Amino acid sequence: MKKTFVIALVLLLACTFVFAQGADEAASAAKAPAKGDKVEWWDHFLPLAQLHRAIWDQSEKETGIPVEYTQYDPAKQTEALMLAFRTKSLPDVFSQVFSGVGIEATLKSEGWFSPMAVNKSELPRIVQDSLFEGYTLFDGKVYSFPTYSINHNAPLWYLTKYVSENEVPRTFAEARALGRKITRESNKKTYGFVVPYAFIGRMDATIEDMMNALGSDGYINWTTGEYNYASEEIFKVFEFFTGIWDDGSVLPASVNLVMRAARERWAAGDGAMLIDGSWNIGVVKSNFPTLYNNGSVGVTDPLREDDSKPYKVYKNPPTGVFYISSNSDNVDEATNALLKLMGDDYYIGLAEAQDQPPLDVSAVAKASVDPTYVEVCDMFGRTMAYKPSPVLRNVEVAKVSAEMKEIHPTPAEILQGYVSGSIKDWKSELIKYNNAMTKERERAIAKCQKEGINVSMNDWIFTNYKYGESYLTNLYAGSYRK
Amino acid sequence: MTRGNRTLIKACICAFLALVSFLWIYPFLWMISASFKTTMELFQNGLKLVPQHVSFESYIRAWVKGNFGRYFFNSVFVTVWTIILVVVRCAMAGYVLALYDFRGKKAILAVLMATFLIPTGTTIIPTVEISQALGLLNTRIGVILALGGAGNVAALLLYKATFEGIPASLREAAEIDGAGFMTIFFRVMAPLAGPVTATTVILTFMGAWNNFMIPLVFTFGTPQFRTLPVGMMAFQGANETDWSGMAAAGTIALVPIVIVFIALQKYFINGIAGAVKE
Amino acid sequence: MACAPATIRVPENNEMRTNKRTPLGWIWLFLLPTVILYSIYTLYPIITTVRYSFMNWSGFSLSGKFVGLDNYRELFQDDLFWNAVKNTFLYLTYAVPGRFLLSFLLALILTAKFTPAKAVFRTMIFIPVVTTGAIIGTIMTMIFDPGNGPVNLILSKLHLIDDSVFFLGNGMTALATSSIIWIWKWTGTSLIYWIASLQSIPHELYEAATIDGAGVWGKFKAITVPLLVPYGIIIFVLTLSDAMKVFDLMLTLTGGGPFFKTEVIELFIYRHAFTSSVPRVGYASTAATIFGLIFVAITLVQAIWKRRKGGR
Repeated sequence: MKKTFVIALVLLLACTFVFAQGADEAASAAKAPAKGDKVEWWDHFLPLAQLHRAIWDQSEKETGIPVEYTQYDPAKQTEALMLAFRTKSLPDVFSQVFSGVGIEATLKSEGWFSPMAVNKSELPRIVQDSLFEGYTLFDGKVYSFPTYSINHNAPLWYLTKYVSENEVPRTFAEARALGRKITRESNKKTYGFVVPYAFIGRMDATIEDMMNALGSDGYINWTTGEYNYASEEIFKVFEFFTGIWDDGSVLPASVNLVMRAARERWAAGDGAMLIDGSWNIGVVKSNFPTLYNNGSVGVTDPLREDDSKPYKVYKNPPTGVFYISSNSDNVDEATNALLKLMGDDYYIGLAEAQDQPPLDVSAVAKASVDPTYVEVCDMFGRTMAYKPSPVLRNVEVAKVSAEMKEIHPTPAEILQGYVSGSIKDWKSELIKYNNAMTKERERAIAKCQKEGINVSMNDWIFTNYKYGESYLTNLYAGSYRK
Repeated sequence: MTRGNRTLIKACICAFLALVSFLWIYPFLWMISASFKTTMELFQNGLKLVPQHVSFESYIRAWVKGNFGRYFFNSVFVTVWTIILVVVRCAMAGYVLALYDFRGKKAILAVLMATFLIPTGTTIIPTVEISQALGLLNTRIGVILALGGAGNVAALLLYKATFEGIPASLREAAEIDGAGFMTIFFRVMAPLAGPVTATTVILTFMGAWNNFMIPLVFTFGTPQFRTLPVGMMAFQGANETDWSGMAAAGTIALVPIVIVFIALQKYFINGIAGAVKE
Repeated sequence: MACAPATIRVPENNEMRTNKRTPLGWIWLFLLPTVILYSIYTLYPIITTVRYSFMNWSGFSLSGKFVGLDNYRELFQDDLFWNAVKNTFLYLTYAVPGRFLLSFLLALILTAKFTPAKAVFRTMIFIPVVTTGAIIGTIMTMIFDPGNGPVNLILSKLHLIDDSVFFLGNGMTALATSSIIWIWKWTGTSLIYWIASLQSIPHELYEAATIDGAGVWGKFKAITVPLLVPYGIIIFVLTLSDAMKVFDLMLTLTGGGPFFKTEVIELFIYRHAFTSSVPRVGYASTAATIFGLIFVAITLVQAIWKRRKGGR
């Protein structure tokens, strides 16, 4: 008994010491940062962390205000932000990680944001021109600003070790043949493709990008307002993705891979071709340096049916990246930190990180980057355009999106279902999805109308839209169907 | 049983255990070797265990990037106190529920069993809200209470079973000697629950050491109080994962638990055997 | 039963009598920490979850709107909810007996006298329990890789399969495969529960039985099994509870896919509460409530059935 007692006493003393230590810390922490003393910053941009850290350190030297940074995995960030919002402990600055049409407008109406402490007119020209009411401006006040210019997810990246210059595929047929060849010749050591079938959000976006490349408006037909989930173009994209799977040219593990993992397998040589955005080369630089800047990697336009026709991939005008939270006590300091993310130096830094292209694309030419990055940014510049945005024309549309329930399975889920053997007839699933989405949108519109919100099916119709042209701001006026 | 038979059985069992152990620890060995590999090497060499170079660069990076010095201290602090809280409260409750019948006992047991099997996906929201109401957010004591106060029905039931299994004669003898309630509990009964206590310590250690969401949410405003799992977030970005850093961090974070586990092994042996002999 | 609990009729007039046999004061003092903490951190959240289940509450809003039974109506018609229920129950049938029996078997071996280096083996079996989840995910994808993964290689060498199967990615096998990985990871925990239980059986009983001439199997049947029953029940229920709440591991291994084939209830709830583009806390709470009720109902049925059968 005595021995136990002694041990217990020692343990107790140790614990008390530890506790006292902790209590001291707590006290000192409570005394520390008060208002205006630091800026809390959460984002999911691991590749930019170094660039930002350098900027913040510089700024701290000048103003004495440190930036406290927490790196998040976007999957965890959504939950963290929602819980932080509930308890009024959102960080001063956070990156907008939520998906959904018009999400910025929804968040604004729910009270998530504080406006920046700066007037629109005080910002650089290039930033001013990229601000839109309903995305980054609300009631004329600046809430956020884009740091990227539009880009898409469908460029085709390949390892030059397996794909020689004259073999680079431009059409579905060429790609499928090449995929079969690579798989066969390497005796399945290297497959033709790695496809992140499990990365649903991205695959849904990629499918739409490739539909654009085929000449479609995307998921919504802007002339009739109808959904395109059962259109010819989506069927062609599906025939490609299911075709390469049926050919056996896709790394079998792809069924379960998210983008991160798919890229890792591709870089390791398990597959020769990968469909990914411009950031692919940025990740290659930091994670697979042996492939960087030595011609090991090549990139080309999205695969399509007929590569002689010009195409445009459509995206909404860029929206804000970082927002200031409504419970922030340090709006001025946060604004100052954010203002550092404009200007040539920053854009060149962004270009060198080789993530999404910077807002000022000309910075790419001034930065030291891999040739593929120059190529892919150039591609975006040539082949991308703004699509019409229902939310920008009528901010109430965001309420309809918030009301619409998610329908499953989405196209990407259908695709994963097919390659995992759970679905045989993807076409009928797509048709089912199209019908369900149409019905759900009608229901949501009806419900919103009953609550007095000013929306209708006309909000999805743009009479002056034409495929091949960029839908610029001046086109919005007078675009309603009578 | 003949000598030969016995040796054969022993050999079979050893072989079986060796196979099991190999399967069980292979991923751990892989993790250690991953901490020495570059990301490219990791995916090109797949399951091979031997890295090309051994450099502790990733460990240093893990320590700095994951803010290990500070977070380690926080993890220890939170875990130790959570263990104390869980062991004490579960032993006490299990003891009383085992030895006495009283009004409300059935109700308590019923509530415990009923709420044991309910999904906990959304309970983080009310937990956070009530902690905020109690002023416990952004403190480590909030984390400790949330970790040690919720659930843990497992520990309670195991204590209850153990105390029920102790012969009444022991307690009666102590009572005859004039021992009071507390004395009986602390000096006679509790020491006999050695194995269960050791078990609870290890499992609570593990649960508290590895918990991610509670320490994260409770330290939104006070990042200096974060724990190791939260620090591990620094290794996983949207587009890429710092695998060698994460593997190094995982190895570092794992060492304390294994040490505690090994240290507590001997308490698994001390059962009732000793006491009953007296 | 080794111990006869002190039973007494609690006094009718609510007076707290410090009786030598039922020290109510002590009893409630000992229960107080658990009662208070459990109420705050487990009961209150559960009650709140039920409250949320009657509301239409977007994850982005501070408050929700009361909508009565709308969520329940919608949930009953939600194919994916019933899919989650089915997946969870299937998962339980794969995972629980496996982990229960394997850990029991290992515990028996690792407490027997003739086993060498027990502590070493126990530690090794415990290690997966504390290995980082993301790492397990990566390595399991490699192990089960249809091309070069060892599982496929071994199975085809043994001629058990013709073509390589992607066990983690195939709709039909993903759930079973995840349960095997889960068993692998968590057996260490059950192992120490069993060891603790086995160690609490007094050696004297075994010695006495040996003197009486009982063999290994006889001792096992007459001593080990009966004395382990109360622990066994607890360990079974714990394993059941653990399996039902599986979340992190499944998220890492399959994310609920492919095609929702491994979406167990916790993943369903999480998806609706936090990661959908339209997060609906109310709806997720409804799923939690209904699923919890299913289990409570099963427990009730089982308790009533036991009592019918003649109870104790």
